[in-house]
Amino acid sequence: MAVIDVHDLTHRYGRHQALRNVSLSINAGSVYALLGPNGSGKTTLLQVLVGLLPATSGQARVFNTPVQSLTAAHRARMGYVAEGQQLPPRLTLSQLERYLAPLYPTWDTALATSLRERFQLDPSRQIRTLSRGEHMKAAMLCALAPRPELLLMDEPFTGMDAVVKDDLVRGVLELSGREGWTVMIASHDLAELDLLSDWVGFLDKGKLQLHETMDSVRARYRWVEIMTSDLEARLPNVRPPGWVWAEQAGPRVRVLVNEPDDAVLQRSARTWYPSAARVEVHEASLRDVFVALTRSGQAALSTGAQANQAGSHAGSQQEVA
Amino acid sequence: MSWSRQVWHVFMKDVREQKWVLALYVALLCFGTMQGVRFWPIDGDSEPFLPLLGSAVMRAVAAYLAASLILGDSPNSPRAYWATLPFARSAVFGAKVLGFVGLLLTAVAAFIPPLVQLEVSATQLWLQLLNFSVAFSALLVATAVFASVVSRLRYVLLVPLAAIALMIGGLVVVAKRGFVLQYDLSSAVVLVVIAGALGALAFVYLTRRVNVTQRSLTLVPCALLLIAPFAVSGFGPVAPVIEPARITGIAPSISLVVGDAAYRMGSQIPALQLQTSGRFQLDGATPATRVELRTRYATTVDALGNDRDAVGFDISRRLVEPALPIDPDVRWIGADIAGSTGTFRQSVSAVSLSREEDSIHTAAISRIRTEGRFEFRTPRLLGSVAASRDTAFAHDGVHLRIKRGTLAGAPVFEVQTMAVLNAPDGVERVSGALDHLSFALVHDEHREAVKLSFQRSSSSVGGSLLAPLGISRGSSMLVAEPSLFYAPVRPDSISAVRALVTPEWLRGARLVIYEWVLTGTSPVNISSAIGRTSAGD
Repeated sequence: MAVIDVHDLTHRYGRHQALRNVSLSINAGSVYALLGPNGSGKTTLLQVLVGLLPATSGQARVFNTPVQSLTAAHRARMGYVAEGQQLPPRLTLSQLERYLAPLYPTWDTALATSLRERFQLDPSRQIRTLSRGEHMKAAMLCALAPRPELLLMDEPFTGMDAVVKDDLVRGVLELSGREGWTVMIASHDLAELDLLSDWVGFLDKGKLQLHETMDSVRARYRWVEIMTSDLEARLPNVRPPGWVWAEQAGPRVRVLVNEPDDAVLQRSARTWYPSAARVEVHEASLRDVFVALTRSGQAALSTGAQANQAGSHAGSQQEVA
Repeated sequence: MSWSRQVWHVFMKDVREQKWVLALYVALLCFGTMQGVRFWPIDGDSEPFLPLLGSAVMRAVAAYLAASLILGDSPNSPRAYWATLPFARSAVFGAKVLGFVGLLLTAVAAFIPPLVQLEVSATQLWLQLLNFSVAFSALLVATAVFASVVSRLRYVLLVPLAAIALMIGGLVVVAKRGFVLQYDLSSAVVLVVIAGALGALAFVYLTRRVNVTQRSLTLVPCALLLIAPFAVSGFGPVAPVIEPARITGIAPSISLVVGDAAYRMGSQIPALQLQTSGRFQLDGATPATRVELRTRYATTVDALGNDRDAVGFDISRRLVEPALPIDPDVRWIGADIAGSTGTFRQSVSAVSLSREEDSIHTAAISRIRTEGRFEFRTPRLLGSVAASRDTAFAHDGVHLRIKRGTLAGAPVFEVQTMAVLNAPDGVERVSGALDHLSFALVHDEHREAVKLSFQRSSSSVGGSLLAPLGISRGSSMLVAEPSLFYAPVRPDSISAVRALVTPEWLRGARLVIYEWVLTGTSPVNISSAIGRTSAGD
C-alpha cells in the first residue's frame, strides 16, 4: 500500500520551476533515498509532502490523503527533519520534549532519553545555543521519539560526526525494519544512503530521472573498464546506447553504463574499442551512479575528455514493489 | 488533544520562550502602576520624563513580543517547525490571538489602579480603557500582521518606516474630517482594520499562502493601524451635530489685516502674520451656551485660487462666554453677567523667505480659508472648596489643590492641577489649562461673586505609562480678570474687584468649580477675503 503517492506534481517559485511533473509512489516499509544535485528540487518535494509548501499543480497524497488536507492525527504519524528547521530557539531540549510529547500518542519517552544520551545532548541547553550538528540531532530526536510511521528527512546527517551518523543509520534501519516505518531521505551522504535505502530516486532540475529499487540500480548501473592499446584513446563522438558517462585517461576508458546484460556490455565495448586488451565489468556504488547521472545532466561541468550526453535513464515511473 | 488544549499548549510554549521579555514588560507596567498611584498628591517640581520614556519602552516591548509570538511559529516560513507538528492550524492562530489578548489585558489591568486612584468615574474609567485598548490593539495587530509575512524579526522594523511613508496619506483620508471624508470615522475605521487584519492573519495561518502581492498589501493595514493612535478621536458620548443652518448668519465686518509689524523672526525664518476678525451671529447658541471655534486647518489663498499652506493658526477661539449659573441674589463683581456674542478673530501665519517675497506674497493673498468646528457647551456646577491653602478638589479624574493664595490687588491663587488627558467628551485636557473648567469665588454671606480666569499656566504631560492615554499636570494661576471673559467689559471691573475683595472677604469665600459640558458641535468653513467674508458648514 502506497504511503506516499505523488502524481504529476509541479511547484514553482515565481518563474523558477522547482518540480516538473514529478510522479512517484512509495509503499509502506520502504526506505527511499532521494538524490539529486543542489537545487534539483529534493527539499521542495519533501516540503510539499509535509505540507510546508503548496503544490502549484498536480497532487501529492500521504496516507492516502491529499497533503493539504492532512489532519493533526495524520501528522502525529509523521516525522520530519530538515536542515535549518526552526525549532523553538528559547526552549531547552527538555522543555521541547515536554512540549512535543503530549502531541503524539505514540511518543516514546524511553526512546527520547536513549537518543538524547546517544547523541550526547544536554537537556538543559536552549536550542539556540546548540551547534549545527547538535541542532540536527535535537531535530532528529524529536522526529524519532514519536515512532512515526512515515519519516521524512532532508539532509539529516548534516554536521554529524561519522560515529553518530553510523549509529543513526543503524538505528533508523533497525526501527524501520522492525516497526515497518516508511522513510524518505534526501541527502548527499551517499555512503549512508547506500546502506540505508532499498529504493532510490534521482531528481535533476526538478524532474525525476530515476525511480527504482536499489537492487535494480545496482544491477543496471555498472562500471565498464576498457584497457585499449591506444595510448590516447578517444571517446566515441556519438553516445553509444546504454552509456551514461565516460571518462578517459591515457589508454584506460571508464564507462558507467545502464545495462544489466554482461554480454551486451562486452559487445558494446568491443564495438567501440576493437583493439581493447581487456574489458572488465565492476559494480557501481550509489555514489558512482549519482555522480555519473549528475555529470551527464550537467555536461558543461564535465571534466572528462568529452561530455557524453548519455543515459537513457529510467525515465518511466515504476510502481514500488 | 482538544482544540482548546492545543491553543493553551502553544500559548504556554510562547510564554516559556518569551519569559524574560514578558518579565520586562510586566515590570514596566508594575513600575507604571506604582508611579501612577503615587502621582497624586503632586510633587510639583518633578517632571514625568521617566513615565514618557517608560511608555515608549513599554510599547516597543509589546511590539517586540507581538512580532516574536508570530515569528516563533511563523505562518509563512517553509522551514516552520510548527506546521509539521500535529496541530490544528487554527489552534496555533488561536494561541497567538490569546497571546495578544494577554498582552493587552495585562496593560489594561496595570492602568486600573492609577485611574481608580485618580478617582475617575466608572464611565470615564471604561472609556479610557476602551480607547487605550483600541490604540494598543492596533499596535499589536499591525506588528503581528507584518511579522506574519516576513521571516525575520529585523524586517518587522520596516513597519515604522513604511508607516511614516503612508502616514501622510492615511491621515488625510482618516483623520482630516471634511477633506476627504465628510465624517470622522477614525474610530470605526480602526476597528474595521483591526478585524480585517486579524482576518488576514488567520488566512495566512490557515492557508500558509503568502505571495508578493499579499506582502505588499500587508503594509496598508499596518500603516493604518500604526497611525491609529494619532487618528482616533476616541469612543465616548458623542455630542449631537447641530444643524449648520442655525449658525450660518454672520456679521459683515470681517476684514483681512496685514500690518506693518507683521514680521516675526522665529528660528531665522521670517513669518508673515495675517489676521482676520469679525463677529458671528450664532443662531444655534442660547444665552447659556459657551461657543468655541476649534480650527483644524487653515490656508492662505492667492488671487488665482491656489492654496498656500499656513504654518500656524489659532487652534481654539472662544466666541461666546455665557454667565455661570449662580443664585439669583448673588451679585457678580466687576462684570456684566449677561451672555453675549463674541468677536471672532483669526490669526494665520505664512512663511516667506525674504521681505521682497513677503510683499509679493502679501499682494498675492486674496483670502484666508479655515476649516473647523463650533463647539457648544453649557456650564455645570461641580462643587466648591474653601479658598485657602492646601484645600483640594477631585472630580472624575480632575484633581486640583490650592498651593497658595494671595491678594495682590485682586485675588490670585496658584493651583496644582492634574487630569486624565481626555475628558469623557473627548476634549483633551492638555497644557494644564483645564479648558473645560471655570472657577469663581463666592462669598455666601455678602452674596457676592468674582469670576476667576487662568492667567498663566505651566504644565507637563505625563506619559501613558501612568494612565492609558496619559495624565497632564502642572501649576496654574487663577486670577480675577473679568475682561477676558465678559463683554462688554465694564470700565470699573478691575477697580471694583480690587475695592471689594479684601483679605476678610477672601477668608469668607469659597472657590466654586464649574465644568463646561459639550452639548453639540457643528462643522464650519470660513473663507475670509479682504473686506468680505462668508461662512458656512
